[in-house]
Amino acid sequence: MRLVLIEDHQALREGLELLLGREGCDVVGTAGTASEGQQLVEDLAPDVALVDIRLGDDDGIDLTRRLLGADPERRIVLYTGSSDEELLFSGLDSGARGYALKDGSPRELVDALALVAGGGSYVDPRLRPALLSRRATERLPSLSNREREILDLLAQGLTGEQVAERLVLSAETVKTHIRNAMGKLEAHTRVHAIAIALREGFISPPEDAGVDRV
Amino acid sequence: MSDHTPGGLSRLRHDLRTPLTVVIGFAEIMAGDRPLTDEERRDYAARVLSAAIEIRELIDSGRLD
Repeated sequence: MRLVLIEDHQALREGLELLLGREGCDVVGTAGTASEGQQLVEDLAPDVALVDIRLGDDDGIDLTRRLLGADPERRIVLYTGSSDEELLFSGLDSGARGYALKDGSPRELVDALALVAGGGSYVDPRLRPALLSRRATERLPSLSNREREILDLLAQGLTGEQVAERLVLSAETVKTHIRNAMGKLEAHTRVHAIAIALREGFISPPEDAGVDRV
Repeated sequence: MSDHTPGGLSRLRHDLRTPLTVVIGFAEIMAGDRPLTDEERRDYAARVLSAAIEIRELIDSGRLD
C-alpha cells in the first residue's frame, strides 16, 4: 500500500513514517503543509493519503475538498486528535473515506488505511457515540430494506463490488441503491451516508471484531 | 491563554494528542517483543522524551486553565 502522509507536527510525521513503515506501509512521500501535500498527492498518486485535520495555518478538510474536487476517486483518511462532533461531520462532508483518531495504535491506523485504500470506508470506533447520539434535526425519509442491507454491508467494510457479489446483484444496481440512499439521507459521500444511517438507527454498528469498521 | 470555546477545546485536545501519539507509539515499540538496536532504542527514547516535554509545555502554557 503506497501512502502519502501529510502532518504538520514534525515529530509525529517522522514517527508515523517509521511506525507505519514497520507495519508494512510503503510511505512514498511526506509533507508538513497543505500545499506540499497537495503537490505530492498529485505527483505520486498514492493508494491512500493520510491527512492531519489541522495543518498549522492550513486546514486538512479544505485540502481534502481540493484534492477530491480535482479527482473524486482519491482515497483520503483524515487524522485528528479531536473527537469533536462538528469536526467529524465536517470531515465526512468533505468526501474523505476515512476518519481516524490519534488515540489509535499504529496497527489500527494501518488497518484503517488498508481498508480505505481497498475501496472501503472507516470511522474510528471511538467516534461511534458521537455518530449515534447526534439528534436528527429533521425527519429523514426511510430507507428501503435493500438500501439498508447495502449500507449495512458497506459499514462492515465491504466495497461496492463486494456488496454486489454478496447480494448477487449487478455493480450498477448496487450503485443505484447507494445513490438513492445518499439522496434520501442528504449525504455527499458513501461514508457520510453510513454515518447518518448509523446515527438515525437505520443500520446497526458492525459487531466488534478486532479493528472496528464503519 | 486559555480558550474554552468548543473550537478552542477541540484544538487543545488535538494539540495534546498529537505529541501523546508519538509517546504512545514509540513506547509501545520499546515495550514490544521485537528486538531493537541500541541506536534505535536511543532514537525512540529521545522521541518519547521530546514529545513528553512538549506535552508538559502545553500544560504549563495555561491553555488548560
